Amino acid sequence: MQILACYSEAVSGVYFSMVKVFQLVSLLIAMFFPLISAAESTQNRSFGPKILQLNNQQQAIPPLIKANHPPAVVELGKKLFYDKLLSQNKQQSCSGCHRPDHGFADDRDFSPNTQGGVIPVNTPGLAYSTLLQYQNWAGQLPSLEAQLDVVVENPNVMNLPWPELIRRLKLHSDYPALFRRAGYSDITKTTITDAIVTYEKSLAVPSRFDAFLHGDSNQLSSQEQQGFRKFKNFGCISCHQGTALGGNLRQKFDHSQDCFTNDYHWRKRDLGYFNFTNHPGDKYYFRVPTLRNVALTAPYFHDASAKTLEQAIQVMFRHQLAIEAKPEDISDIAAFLGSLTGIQYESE
Amino acid sequence: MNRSNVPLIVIAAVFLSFPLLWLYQYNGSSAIMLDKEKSMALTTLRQHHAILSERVLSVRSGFEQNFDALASGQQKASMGLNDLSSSLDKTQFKAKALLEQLKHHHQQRLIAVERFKSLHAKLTNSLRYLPGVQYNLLLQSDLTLLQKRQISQLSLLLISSHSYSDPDDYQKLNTLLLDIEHLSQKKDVPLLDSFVLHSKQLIQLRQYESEILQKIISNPIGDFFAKLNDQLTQDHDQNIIAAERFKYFLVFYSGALIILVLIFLINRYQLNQHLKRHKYLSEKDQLTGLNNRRYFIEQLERSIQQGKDSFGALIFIDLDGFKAINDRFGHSIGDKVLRRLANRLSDYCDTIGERRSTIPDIEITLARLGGDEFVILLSDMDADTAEQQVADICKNILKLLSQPISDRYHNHSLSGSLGVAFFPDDGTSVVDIMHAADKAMYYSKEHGKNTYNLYHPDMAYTDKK
Repeated sequence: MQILACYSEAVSGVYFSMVKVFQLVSLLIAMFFPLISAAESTQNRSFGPKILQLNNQQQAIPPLIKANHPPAVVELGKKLFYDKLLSQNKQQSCSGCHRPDHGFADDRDFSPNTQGGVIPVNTPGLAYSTLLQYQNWAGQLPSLEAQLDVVVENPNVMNLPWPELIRRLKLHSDYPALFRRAGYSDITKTTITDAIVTYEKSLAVPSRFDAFLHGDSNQLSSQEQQGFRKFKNFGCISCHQGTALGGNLRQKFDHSQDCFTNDYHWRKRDLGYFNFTNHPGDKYYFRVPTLRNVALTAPYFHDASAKTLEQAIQVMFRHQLAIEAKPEDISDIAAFLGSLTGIQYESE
Repeated sequence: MNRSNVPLIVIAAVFLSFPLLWLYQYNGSSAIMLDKEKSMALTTLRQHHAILSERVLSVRSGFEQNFDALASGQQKASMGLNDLSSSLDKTQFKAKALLEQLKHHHQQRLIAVERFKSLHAKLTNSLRYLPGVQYNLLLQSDLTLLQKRQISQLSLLLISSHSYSDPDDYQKLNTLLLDIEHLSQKKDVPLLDSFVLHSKQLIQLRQYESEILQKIISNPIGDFFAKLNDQLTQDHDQNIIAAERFKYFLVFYSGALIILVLIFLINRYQLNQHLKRHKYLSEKDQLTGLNNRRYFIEQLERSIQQGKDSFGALIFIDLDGFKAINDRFGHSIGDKVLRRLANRLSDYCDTIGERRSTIPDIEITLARLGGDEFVILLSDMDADTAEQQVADICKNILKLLSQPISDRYHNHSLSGSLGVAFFPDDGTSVVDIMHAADKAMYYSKEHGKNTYNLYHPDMAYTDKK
């Protein structure tokens, strides 16, 4: 307690002095900004390569850097990800709903479940899920491992108990050797989860926008840069922020939309995080989804109510920002969002 | 080690190893290690919460523009709590109760952080929106220079100050806002209305944010950290004391166990000695140390029961003239003579036993039946060569017996009469064979003594005095 008290005192003391300093500095910068930027640009023009010209705009979001994963594990995870053995009826694989040609999301509104019905929420893209601090639409799951655990045993999705899955993999002709090659001593829940999650992590590849954030201004066209500027100025960035452009906070979804029906089952879905906490303050709260790969993952929102990116941007403008957007704003921002597509998917 | 001792040793080993196992499990150092883990988990959780506060503050003051670090801090704090709750023992009820309260406050704190993130996102948005309104206002409206300055000043104040804790600033802000509100009521400029609205909203958001921040920073979770730490220290002390007590108990236990085992071993040893002694007494003749009648009959029975394949011979030996020695020199001398003769006979039997390689598979048993009667049992013989072998043995025995026995004063000269019966030829029961050998022996005695005879059914069983 004493430690924490001391700590909070110290921090708040430092904090207030820092605030003063910050005010002064920001004022000074505001006053001399044209001069400074001019000086910087002349300096850079004289010696530094052009790629180092980072401006204030580019620093708002930390760029994504591709992580390296052991190739044998990634290969094993990929095989598991595409294997229909992981569902009880051997009809569905992970890739059946997280379709690789649609940014690992589903182009159908709702994906079918094992029992002939549909899963009542749209399948989100998972290529950049490793960057997210909360998984699922409501963000009730803290990690990809927990998410995978829920998905495999969920009677609506894969409907396969773990022991049965382990038994199937052990009897398979290829998997024991593949697991050994990947450096796992045994086929267990932990190793299966680790392999699949490693594969999912390997899907997070940089986009043109990351190159732009690193300083290569030529990567984005002038319309896309204009879109990024608008993205920040209209305030999209205050929720869609961080490396993943979203995924690290929950926000209230404006529930006055027309698409909400009175059917209890579907209405319950729209309550969002409330379904997991039963705290009245959590009603209609959803995790802010990532915007990476967003151009590929149509339809949009948990209820798949927006069929195109433009429609989704308009809904966001109207309901979250309370702004009636002009068509050129929407098209600019849509162009910018297009630059967030991971580089490897464009060739496919 | 005797084979009968093996189960005893196993039991002793098991019972002695139990205390060692317990000692290994419940010793003080393991308690220290486990409790260290617990306190490390607690310290880590504390640290995560401190880092969380720091990150909240750095987000608020604008050093961090996104919530990546903040959200990962939240995650780490949750994971730290899980680690702590899994490291606690089942029996630490007080600590568990404290942990439950801690969990509650932890959740409250995380919810507050979530609210803070939400508010901060709105606030950032509003901070972006306000300058735009101000810019348009300054460009378009027909306001006086003073009013424009007031608007700029208000906007600057709103944007640059992060809290309204300074009363002067706050007053200034309020007066400026009031002025502009009056102005907006007087003039019909929609942009001005929206500017006032947003300014008010911003101030409200700031206040909410301050409240939330207050909740995050001065959360009573710190008290519970301290309480839990105290409780863990107490539990640790108790664990150490319990381990020490357990050690004492173990020392007593193992000591008692060792004493019990020793007593048991000694008792068993004594019993064994007694058993040996009684066996000796029951099987040996006390005077000569040879086997006695009972043992001999047992042996004979066993040899007969081995079946038809076993062929053997029984040699009855009766000393001639022993009664006279007893009568003339007394029993003590007679006993001495008997002992000497018994020694000779047993030495001779031993030499036959050693020569077993030349006389294969012969088993020889010498016994004293009582008085001056000895008997030799030869079993497992070869039926073809048996008569020859027995004849040799009998001759040797006669030679042995007829050698004089020197005393300090006298030379005692003795001889023996021998009778031989073969089994299963001359009888299939103990009584029959003994009877046959007895008959043969008396036959020898009556026909000149110092000789041997093989049993023949025609031998007359003449009256023996």
